[in-house]
Amino acid sequence: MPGKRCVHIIDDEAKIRDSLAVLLSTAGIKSRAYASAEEYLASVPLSEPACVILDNQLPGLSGMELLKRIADAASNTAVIMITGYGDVPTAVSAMKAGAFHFVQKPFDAEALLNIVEETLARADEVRDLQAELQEFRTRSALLTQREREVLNLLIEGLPSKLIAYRLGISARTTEHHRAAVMQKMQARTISHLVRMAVNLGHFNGANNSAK
Amino acid sequence: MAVVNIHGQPALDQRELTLRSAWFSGRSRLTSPKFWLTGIGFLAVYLAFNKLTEWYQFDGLGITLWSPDNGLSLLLLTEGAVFAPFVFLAAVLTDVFITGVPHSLYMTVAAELVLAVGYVGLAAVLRHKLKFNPRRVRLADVVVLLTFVPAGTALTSFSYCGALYLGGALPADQFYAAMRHFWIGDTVGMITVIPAATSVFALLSKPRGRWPGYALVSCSVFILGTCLGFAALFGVGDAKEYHLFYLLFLPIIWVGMREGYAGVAAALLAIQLGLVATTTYLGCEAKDFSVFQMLMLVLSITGLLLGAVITEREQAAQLLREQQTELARVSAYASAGAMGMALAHEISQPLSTVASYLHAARRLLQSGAASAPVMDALSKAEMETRRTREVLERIRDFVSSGKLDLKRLDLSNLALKIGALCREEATARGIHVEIENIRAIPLVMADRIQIEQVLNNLLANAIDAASERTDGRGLVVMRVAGRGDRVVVQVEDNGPGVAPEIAGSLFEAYQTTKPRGMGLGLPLSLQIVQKHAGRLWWEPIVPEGTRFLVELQINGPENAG
Repeated sequence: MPGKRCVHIIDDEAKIRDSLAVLLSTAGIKSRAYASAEEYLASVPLSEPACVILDNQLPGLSGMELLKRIADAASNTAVIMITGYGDVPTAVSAMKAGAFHFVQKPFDAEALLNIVEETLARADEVRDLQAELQEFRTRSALLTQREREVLNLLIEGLPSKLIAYRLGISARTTEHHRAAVMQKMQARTISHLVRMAVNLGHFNGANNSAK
Repeated sequence: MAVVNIHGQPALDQRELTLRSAWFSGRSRLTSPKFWLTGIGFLAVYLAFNKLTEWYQFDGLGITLWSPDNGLSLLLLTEGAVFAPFVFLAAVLTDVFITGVPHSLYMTVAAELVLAVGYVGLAAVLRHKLKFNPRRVRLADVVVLLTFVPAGTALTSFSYCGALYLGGALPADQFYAAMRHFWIGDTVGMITVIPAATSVFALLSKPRGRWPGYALVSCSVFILGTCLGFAALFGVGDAKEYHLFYLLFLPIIWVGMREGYAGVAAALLAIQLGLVATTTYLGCEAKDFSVFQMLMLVLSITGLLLGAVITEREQAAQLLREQQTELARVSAYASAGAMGMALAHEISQPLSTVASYLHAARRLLQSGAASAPVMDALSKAEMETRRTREVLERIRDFVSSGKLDLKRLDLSNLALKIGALCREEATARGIHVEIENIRAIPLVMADRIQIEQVLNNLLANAIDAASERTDGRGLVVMRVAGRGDRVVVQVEDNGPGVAPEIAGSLFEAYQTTKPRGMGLGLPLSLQIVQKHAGRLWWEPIVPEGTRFLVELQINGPENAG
């Protein structure tokens, strides 16, 4: 969905904001610019996932402090940190604070554009993944206790007969539960079901949240 | 000088010897040829010394009233106890072949063995317990030398005379007199030889930066003073010549003040040789000579302490100067580094912007967009390059100290002040700095700090040029004179002049003939003078030297038409 792609530029230099906006627009990326961290915080809620190009040297709240707040909010906002003083300690602390990329001024426009594209793609991926996880959680909430047990063993790769034996129920009942699981989870095949679970960081999370 | 001629030869040998012994300090000494060369050289010089210092022997027992030979022994032993056999052998050979002592060979061997052991002990205490090092000039070392050598020789003289007494070679009633005789001879011998060796080491390890004429003046005045002293001492015709000995303190103090420890050591050796030669020539009695030696000891102690204090102070001053130079250099580098960082930061901003606009323009062209947005991006990029240029211009202004702070300035006073600042260093390099003021010079509208920088630079250059002379007659003259509505400052040196191959590029940046220069002095000076609407030029002086001239308008750059 290229139309939804939007980058927030936070830099106190008007020329930098303008030139980045022009550059991003040539790649079909929309942008919104802010002259300070405070301005950004006032207009974009921290909880909203976003892609941010952030200058380290800002008047008032520094880039590094904003980066830490964004990371604390755990909102899947990807931050590209730009700094004039490209020293190793700054880079290390930026990466530790959770920056997605670290770019040093003067930057290469094409390289920066690639980084932005990559960051946006990753942000899309994360967003898709999160949507899927949410879906998975919603669906698994519909499962009964017994069905959830069956699902866990299915993901472990056990055949129906073994599941029946483990749970101490008949093969027929197991088949019944299994069909219900597949239907409720909207899984086409067993392998589809397993992939969903694995991709979303194992079933346990959903299992716990359902409790 | 008869004194020097008679005794010059052994003194030279001794220098060579101490040098040789300084060359090694390894463990495999016994296999080193230098060890044997040093030992044999020592033997030769020792015997020669003894041949020449046979005066005033104590009853034919080989005890002399001046024993530079034993000074040499102690010096050698501070190099290592491994030399003890040579010291022992030298003493025995001397007794047998040169002084021809009357007692038996057993007696001689026993007494000299006692002596050798005593000196090895003294040398070991000096070197290892007291960390005495004959290779350095330090007040603490000198104090150690002046206290422990007399004490050590008192002990050894007691043991030596004791050995002779026990062997029946010395009657009991002469014991005390022999011991005193021995003590005086050894103490004065050591206190003249060891400092002389130290000064030789010091001169060899780092030659003084002063021009040779300075030492020549010190030396001439010393010789004159000493000759007058000797003339008064021995020419009065009184039986008690040593009454006027104190006159010899004056030349020693003179040398100490000017040349420090090394000078005093050499001067003391010269006086001692002079005393020995004169008293021998006049045929003084042993008793009188022994009084002279006591006085000589006092003179040595005074002179050496004074010399050590002066040298230590000079070393401290030198160290301070070096540290200051180093500090100035480091801070110059640091400020250059800081400026570089500032420049990088200032430039990276517009550079990033230009890169973005240009890349955007290229992408727009590739995608076949309309020309308006492309043009827009390109013109914005162009504007940014203009901004970059402004940044650079600002930094250039900053480097050349920005705007002029014009005030009425007294150039005569400024010249005097700068001259005073440079004079000490110049004098140390043997250069005479003169500041000439033609009176009644009008005040000039100028930036004091910047003009000071220019004059400082020109004066420093002139001093550098004049110091290339090797005859110690370097001269720098700074002259301030009014010329109508202008004031001219001339800085002249009598150096070798400007080499023809750099004459054309003298005012270009990064042109330098100095190993540590940046080549910015003259270009910056020119820039400053031009900002003042003044002129800076140079001309060769016939037959030798260079003259730099700065001409400033009295009313400053504003009224410069």
